Amino acid sequence: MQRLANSNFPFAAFIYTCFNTVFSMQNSILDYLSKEKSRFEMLLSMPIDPTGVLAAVFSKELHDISGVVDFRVVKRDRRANFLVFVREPDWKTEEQIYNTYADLLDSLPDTIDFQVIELFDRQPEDIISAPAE
Amino acid sequence: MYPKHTANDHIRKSDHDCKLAESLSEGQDFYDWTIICTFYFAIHCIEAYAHKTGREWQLQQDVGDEESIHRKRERFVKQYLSDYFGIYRNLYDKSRQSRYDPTYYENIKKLVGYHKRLLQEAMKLKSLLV
Repeated sequence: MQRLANSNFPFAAFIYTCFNTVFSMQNSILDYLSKEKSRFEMLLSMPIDPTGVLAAVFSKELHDISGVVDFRVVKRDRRANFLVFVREPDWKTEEQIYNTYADLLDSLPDTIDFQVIELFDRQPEDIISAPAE
Repeated sequence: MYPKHTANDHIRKSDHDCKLAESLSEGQDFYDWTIICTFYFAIHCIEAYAHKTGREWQLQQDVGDEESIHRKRERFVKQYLSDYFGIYRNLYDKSRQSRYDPTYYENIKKLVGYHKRLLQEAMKLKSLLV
């Protein structure tokens, strides 16, 4: 039929080619969408915790600051408190911590609090186990 | 919720808090209260600046507003007074510890002159009031 169209009816051949192109494009688009849809559904089904993501980012940034002794996230109800522990006040360390915090401030929802705490002779556990203010 | 204030109200209050912070910093035992007064001095400098620049509405909390006043102030300082962000946030944390951690004043006392340096750094905020 295609040969017939090619030889005797050039216009029909042209239409035939157009249809073939459109159908093949449509199939590729549908294939692509079905793959992306499954990826998107997979992403949505993942238990993504925004606090966890931010904690991971903070943790990575704070890791390079030598004066930071520890970093913990304490959750109470729907609030989370990001606690950065330093041994004692130190201008250079504090400047680095607050610069990091300033960079991430726009990403912080109001349910996440941030605090730098000096340990002195204490351990992070001594602070975390203290009653909330 | 407080009645509406002017830039001058905050300037006078910042001056009052600053004098008290300076006076306390000279004493032997009130390192914690020096820090607390310095923090409130800083807050009133920021409020005065907000009034002077017509941005005081950015530091007001509305009914049903989910963002706390502390976070609003932080964002404000970061946006308009970024040079002072470090000292403001530092004072916020340390005044919080001074108020709620009953052993903090004893620990901070061991760092000779630290409270005075905090006050000196915060004094730079006075330039906002000119």
